[in-house]
Amino acid sequence: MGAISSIYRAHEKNWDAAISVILGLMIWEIVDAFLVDNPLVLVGPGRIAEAFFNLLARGELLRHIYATFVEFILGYSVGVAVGIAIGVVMGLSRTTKDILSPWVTISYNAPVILLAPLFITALGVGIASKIAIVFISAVFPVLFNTYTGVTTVDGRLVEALRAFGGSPAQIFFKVTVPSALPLIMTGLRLSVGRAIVGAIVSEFFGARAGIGLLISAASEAFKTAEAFVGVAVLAIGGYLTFELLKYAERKIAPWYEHRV
Amino acid sequence: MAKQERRVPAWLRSTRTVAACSVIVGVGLWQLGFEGLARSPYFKAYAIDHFLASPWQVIQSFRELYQSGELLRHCYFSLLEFVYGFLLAIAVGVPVGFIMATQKKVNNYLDPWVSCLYATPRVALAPIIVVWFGLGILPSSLVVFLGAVFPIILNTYTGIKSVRQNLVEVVRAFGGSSMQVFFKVMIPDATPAIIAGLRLAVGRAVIGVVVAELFGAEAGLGYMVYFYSQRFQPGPVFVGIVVLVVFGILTFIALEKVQRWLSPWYTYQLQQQIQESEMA
Repeated sequence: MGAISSIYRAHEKNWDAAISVILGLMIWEIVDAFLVDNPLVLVGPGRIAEAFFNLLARGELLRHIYATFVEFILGYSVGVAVGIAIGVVMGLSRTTKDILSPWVTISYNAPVILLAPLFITALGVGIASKIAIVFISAVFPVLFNTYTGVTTVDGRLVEALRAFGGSPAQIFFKVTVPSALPLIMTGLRLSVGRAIVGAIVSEFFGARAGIGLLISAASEAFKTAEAFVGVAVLAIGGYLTFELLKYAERKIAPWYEHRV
Repeated sequence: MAKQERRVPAWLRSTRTVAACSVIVGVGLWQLGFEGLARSPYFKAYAIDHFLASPWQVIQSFRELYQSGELLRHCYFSLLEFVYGFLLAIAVGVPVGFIMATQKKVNNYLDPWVSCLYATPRVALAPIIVVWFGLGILPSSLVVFLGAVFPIILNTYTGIKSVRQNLVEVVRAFGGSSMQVFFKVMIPDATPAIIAGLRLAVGRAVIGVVVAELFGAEAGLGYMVYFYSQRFQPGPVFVGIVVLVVFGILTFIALEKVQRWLSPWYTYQLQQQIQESEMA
């Protein structure tokens, strides 16, 4: 008894989390199996798993995941590259900053998702319109954080380097880039969420394949279980990307204490 | 370089002047470029006016929508959904965040669920929620609630966790009851973080409103945008976006005012001091 309780106490948080998840899933399944007999209103974990394996066996799930993944990767990476480039230029040149900042502020706060139907009219229901939406969803958080990172560099460090005869290029690569990196990484993480939402919502408006299409088509056909499979895939995908970026952040900028 | 700066008067180089010029020039270029593109024979085939509107056309459609009363009706419905969902999110999120921060057991049990749902893009649930609850205000309000509640929970949690313990100890040392600790220290000290959570939540909630309205609604700004984009009229789409941007900015400013009114002592300097003392 003593041994068990000491094992429990050593990792109390993890044990509690495991108990909570198992209990929650059990209650969910029991309610589904015995209390509410309506697959439209409530689907238990069992039925969702069943739908998952059905979709997987038909090859449909992988097709949807692949489509959304391609949209996400292409739009996101271009968005990150452009966001960092413009953010650095804005951080270094005051005139550029003054000219661009009203546009950036407006676009950062605008629900750019609403442009999705127009993009689909312009670029078609294929993959191009989704990449464009993912791009404009992802670019602004990266841009904003890069700009903030470049402008909040510690002036004392810059002065020290200048006093010892450092060239502007040296100041940029030895001080500005390292001290801006943590905030840039934060921008990358913030963009992941926005980019996924952009991909999904633009697929709601019309697509040939993708998780968003899976969710909207399944729920319109009252196949709630299949829609939940889509949501679960998104949850796992979002979580994995998030953790990957957190790991990269620790590797690239280990001196920066991670907050939240 | 220095000579040039001396020749240009300071007010012309100020951030505000440059920003205003940038906006005016940008809108002007947009108008001229659009007129040139849409009228040139080469671009006729691309039907640019089906997905892009000039600033003047946006103003025209704003006037039409406003005069027919359509715009106000859509705004009213969206606002209603936003207010219901957001108030419910505050009513649920703040207490849950508080309990999670003070009761370790509850936190251990709720944390996996909250983190998991926070990582899920909640707008993906919109189609399912519309199937469950049908048309009308309720499903959209629920999507707003789902979008807004998690940032509020997490920020309340962080706010209560980072209440300065020396303040709590001072109140206790002078014989303060736990009620007094709660109302005089914890709530005021956590207010800025909670309001920061509300500000984060506004953006999510606005997206929630419009996405939910795409699926099943008879009115609302999201419905309006979808309706006109299906009819190849981009003017009203841009009107909807402009209205939402203005609404977002106004809510943002209002929350900042509320924060200054509720916790006027919380200035930027204090924020810096607290951060520095935490790091030390």
